Amino acid sequence: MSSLTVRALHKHFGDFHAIKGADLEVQEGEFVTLLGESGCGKTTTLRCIAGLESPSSGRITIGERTVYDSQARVEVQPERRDTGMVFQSYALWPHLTVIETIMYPLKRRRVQRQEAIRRALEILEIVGLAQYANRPATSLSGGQQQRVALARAVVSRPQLMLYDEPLSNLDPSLRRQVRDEILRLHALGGTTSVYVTHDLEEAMHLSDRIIVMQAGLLEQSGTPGEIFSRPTNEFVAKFVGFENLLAATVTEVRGDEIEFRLTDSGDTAALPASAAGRSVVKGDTINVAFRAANALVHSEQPPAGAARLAFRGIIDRIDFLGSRNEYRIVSGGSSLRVAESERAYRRHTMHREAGATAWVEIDADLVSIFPVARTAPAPDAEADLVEIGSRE
Amino acid sequence: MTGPSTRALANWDKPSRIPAGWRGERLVGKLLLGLAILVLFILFLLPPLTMAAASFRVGNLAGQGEWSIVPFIETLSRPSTWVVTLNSIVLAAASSLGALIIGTFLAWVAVRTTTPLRRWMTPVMAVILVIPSLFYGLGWYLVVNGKAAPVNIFLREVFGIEGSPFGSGWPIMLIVVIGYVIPVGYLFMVGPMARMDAALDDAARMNGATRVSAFFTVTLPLLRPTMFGVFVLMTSYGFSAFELPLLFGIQADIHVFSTAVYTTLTANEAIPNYAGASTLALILMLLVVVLVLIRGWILGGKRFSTITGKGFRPEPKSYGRVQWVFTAVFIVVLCWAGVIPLVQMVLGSFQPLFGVSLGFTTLNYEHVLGDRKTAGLITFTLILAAIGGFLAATIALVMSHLSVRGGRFIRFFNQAVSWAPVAIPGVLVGLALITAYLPVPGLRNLIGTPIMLLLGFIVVVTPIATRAVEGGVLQISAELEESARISGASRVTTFFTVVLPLVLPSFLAGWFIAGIGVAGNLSLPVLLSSPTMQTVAVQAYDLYRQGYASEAAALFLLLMLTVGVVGGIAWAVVKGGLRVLNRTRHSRIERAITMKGRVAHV
Amino acid sequence: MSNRQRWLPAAALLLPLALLAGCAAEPAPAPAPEESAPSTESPYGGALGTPEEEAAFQALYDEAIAAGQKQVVVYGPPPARALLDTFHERFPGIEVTYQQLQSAERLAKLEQEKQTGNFVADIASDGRTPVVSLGVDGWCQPLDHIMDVPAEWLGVDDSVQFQQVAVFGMAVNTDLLDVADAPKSWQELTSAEWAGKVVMVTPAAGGAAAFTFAQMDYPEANNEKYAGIKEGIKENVTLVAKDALVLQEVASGNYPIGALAYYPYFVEIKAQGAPIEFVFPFAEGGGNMWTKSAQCLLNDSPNPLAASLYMYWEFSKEGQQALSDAGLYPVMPGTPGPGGLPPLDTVELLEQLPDIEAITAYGPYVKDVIDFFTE
Repeated sequence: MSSLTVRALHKHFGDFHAIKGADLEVQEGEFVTLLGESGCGKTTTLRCIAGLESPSSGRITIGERTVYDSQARVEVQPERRDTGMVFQSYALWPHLTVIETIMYPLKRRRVQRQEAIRRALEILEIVGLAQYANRPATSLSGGQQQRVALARAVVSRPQLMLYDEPLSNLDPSLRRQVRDEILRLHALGGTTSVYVTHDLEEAMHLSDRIIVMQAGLLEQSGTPGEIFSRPTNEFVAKFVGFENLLAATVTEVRGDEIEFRLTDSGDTAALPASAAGRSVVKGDTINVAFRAANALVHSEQPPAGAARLAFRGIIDRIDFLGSRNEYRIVSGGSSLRVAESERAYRRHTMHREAGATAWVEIDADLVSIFPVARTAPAPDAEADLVEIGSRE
Repeated sequence: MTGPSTRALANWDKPSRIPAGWRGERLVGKLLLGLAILVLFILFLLPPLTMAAASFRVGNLAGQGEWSIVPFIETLSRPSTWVVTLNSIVLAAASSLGALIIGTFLAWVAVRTTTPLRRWMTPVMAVILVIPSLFYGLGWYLVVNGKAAPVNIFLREVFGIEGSPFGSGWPIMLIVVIGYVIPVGYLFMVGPMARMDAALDDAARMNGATRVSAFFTVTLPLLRPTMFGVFVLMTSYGFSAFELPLLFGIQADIHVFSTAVYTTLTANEAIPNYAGASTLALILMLLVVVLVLIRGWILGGKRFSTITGKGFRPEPKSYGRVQWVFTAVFIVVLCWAGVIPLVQMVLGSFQPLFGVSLGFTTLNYEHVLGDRKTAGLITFTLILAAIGGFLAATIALVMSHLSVRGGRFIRFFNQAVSWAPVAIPGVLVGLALITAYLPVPGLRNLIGTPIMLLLGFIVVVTPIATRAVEGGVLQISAELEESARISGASRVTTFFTVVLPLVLPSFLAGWFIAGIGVAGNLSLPVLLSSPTMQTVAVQAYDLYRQGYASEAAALFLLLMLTVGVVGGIAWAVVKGGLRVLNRTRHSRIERAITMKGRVAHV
Repeated sequence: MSNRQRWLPAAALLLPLALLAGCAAEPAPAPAPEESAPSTESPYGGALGTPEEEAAFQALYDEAIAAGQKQVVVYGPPPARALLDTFHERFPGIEVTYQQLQSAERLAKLEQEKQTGNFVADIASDGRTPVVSLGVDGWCQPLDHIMDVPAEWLGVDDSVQFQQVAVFGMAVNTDLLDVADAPKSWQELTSAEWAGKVVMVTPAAGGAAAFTFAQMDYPEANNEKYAGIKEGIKENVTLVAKDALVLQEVASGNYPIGALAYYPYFVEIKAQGAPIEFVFPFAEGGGNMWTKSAQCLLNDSPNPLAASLYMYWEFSKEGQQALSDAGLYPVMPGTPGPGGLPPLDTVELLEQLPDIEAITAYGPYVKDVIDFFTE
């Protein structure tokens, strides 16, 4: 068990700047996911931590040990970093049986044969594959193979567990199973873990904390709830599925409230300060974001209230998709999307036709505000580097 | 709230080029690597380079004398130079292509189908490989030339055609050369074929591809690294083919490159024209460079992982009745490449005059067996071949492995090293090596010792071993090694526990083919070692040139017999040993499991 | 891969007879007592030469053995087995080994030995021009022959010896053709009349064949005398890759005539029972091909005593007789020629340049001949 610290990590592949100065800290026992699309640098970061890739510069510390430091010219080989890793395509050795595969890391750490067999069997029991012990590892099904890979990774009780998109090669029906297995093992062992994926749901389910990455940059770090509801920039917002992003400018910041003017319509509105994932100041350009599924659509203006936003517009079109209706509503120059659940469209009567007037209503705590660009000078970079472990 | 944690990019400086990790243990590794590079450069790259430089020096001694462009110009301006070049290119490319196609097909039959007799294919091909080109050629010569030739008898009786219409010319030359090279193609391809994830073509079949198209769209493309490497190798060697084109081309006025090199060198007996011969060798060098570049371009930097950890040993599948056709093809190829010349060789070894029916005699065997040097000769040859082949295959494996996981310089250097000796025509190899090593202080004193002979052999056959091994290494996905590293294995341990077991078929094939290359080599033993170090090949050729062709045949047959016996024993021992090892491994684990089970249930 | 196609003949390739012929070749051990005195004066019973000469041989032999020189290494094409067997029998304790090194390779090896001081080679043996060239370049040391060798068989200030001559003629398959009906000259042999009936080794592979026609091209006088022969060969003669194949084809009855056949080789084949005869020389027109073989004692020979013993012995009665039995013309006066062949001085031999001039002069012509047959 250990914590992981990454400082100022850079990685270049020729001219391509794959990781642009990443900083992260993972607390002991924490399960952190690096989330992003392919090519964003998440796998590269993971491989740098594992030692399979040599960074261009930076510092990586696992527990008390510095395993990489470009200035002090330190680079510890992967076999000495005491990590366990699960690969996307299982990476099992075709010439070994299941139990030999699991014993492999133990043998490398000079565990006595008897003890090694015992521990290997133990872990096999835990993942439910004890009866396959003597089968060639690669003769098992995909899901079973990944569980063997999991077992191999944890058997040596490493300080740090690394997962490189372990579910991507599995049949969708199996993914849930193996994901549960990962969760279970983590609960049992409590090892510090770093997980890489592009799947939002996986990240949500497994992580204590998620870090969203794009093009080598760490866009946002937070709990699954924070990432999901309080994106701090446009990229993350879109990534987690906010369909509606309205441009606005902050006109006033008062204690517990933020007042802003929507760029397209010119209307002003206000939201509680808690809607903002990051602090904003007067004059900032911001996005006001909410999910289509969280908004409600009415034929009449809903009653006013401080805890909501309301937009009036014309229905541009409605798509009936069975489980929901999807509305495009033009309001004040913006095109809003609302998804109406089956429940709502069965109960709720309104004019559902193109051209009809409609009101879009959204609860304040389902709206997220984040700055798009700063007009004020950037705050001190150091100050930004909060010990992210501290949650509020 | 928490915020993102990416440092501002503004003031970031790219660090110096020297990477981290130059601590103690890595430094030693780097020094060793540097030393290895130096040694390899001298041994492998110096000979062709000095040979190229020698094209421009005129003097009594090879590679020395005054600088002059005269021999260079003179050699290249002769029209005959370009005639033979063209002939040799056509012969080399056509024969390599033919042999590779047939060899690959048979390798596939042997590994992936349940064709009857398939288990015999590899041992048979291995034995055929030992047949020297001279006797292979003579065997075929007697089949198509002369009144007593079976083919001519047939033509006479059935069609009333006189003479030897197929005695010489392009058709018979191609047939003979292709047949000679088929075992090479087969043995090279059987390794990679045996290490393919069957799931890959299963996947293709699932997607609607027929068996045939799966073969062409999935299996073949994955074999590309080995196939192209082997093609380039066979074409390069074929370009300097000597014996067979001589036997079957001369009468039809087809002249080839190797004869031109030889005659250029020795036309003036007293003053060898090394500059002229080296100039011709430049043509071969150019050919090799071009082919290697093309190969590199076609393969790109792609991975050809067929062993990805999802399955690697394909189960043979039955293809129904068409498999009998496969068996027939195998039998035909067997006769073509082996039986016909072998039968002639055996017959000839019992004749007083090779190929002339004057009755039979056992005199040749009496001479050979009676000579007390024979046993030593055969033993020495076998030991040299085994050790030389092994070392060459090991070098090939280590280099291929480093190449795949290394940077651009290492890759380039390995390519250069593993192709450089091929750029020297067979006739000149010994001369090129001794000329290159003479100025090197430590090396020159080794000339005349068995060590130098071994080194020379290794240099000459490493390219062969590399072609067998590099494909196998490329087939192993990087993740298999990475997962081993993460599991606590150092680079070296990973190599021995993961790479080696998986690359074993290719390694063994490389070892064997390289070993045969050592056993059959003629130019090195006399030049690089001392009078007491003789190999069977040299002795047999000496006998042949003195006119004792039948005795030479007898000697070679004895060698082949010994190879067969020793090889068979070795194979049985190794296989048996492996099986015993495996069983002990598994049984120990089984016992532990059942004991634990018992304990747990108490 | 690299079967260096040497020219069988030019390179002192001595072919043995079959055992039968070998027995006949056995130097008659002391054929009845000569007027030789007791053993101290004629140690070998007259087999080698006069008593004085034999005493000198014995002294040299004893000296060599005393000096521990048990081996002689020769760089060049090996001779007939019987020749070496005879020597070994005569002088037990000294072993003569031949290493098949010629041309550029021999030079490279000698150079390597010189540079490292690791001397192995004692003798260089080959056709005349390569050895003469070595002599001219200073590789050889002067010889002091025991036998009285005529000056014409020594060269380069007595540092090179010519111990034998080989000739080339026509091999005729007597089942297919009467010897009397064989072609009478080069011109006839290469005419259309004999097209398809003559087989010869190709000059395109160099060797003696190429050399023969190079000599026909130069000097000018030869060129006129032998005009048209090259062309005739290209037109009418079947060319094969190897010398061995020529006699094989004739012996098998595929061709009645094999041109430019090397006599020692013929002798060996005939002894196996092949129905062949040798026709030499041509009845008219000359151009009979012959070669001198040469040897020299290398400067830094590690076993000079043993080596010179061998070299001198080749001129002894026994040595020359052994050569003759193998089908070569001996050079010492009074030794009978190889069985059935006329004395050399009665034959119209193909005119050759003197030794030293021959080193450089023939080169371009050989190349031209090769090119001619390669096009």
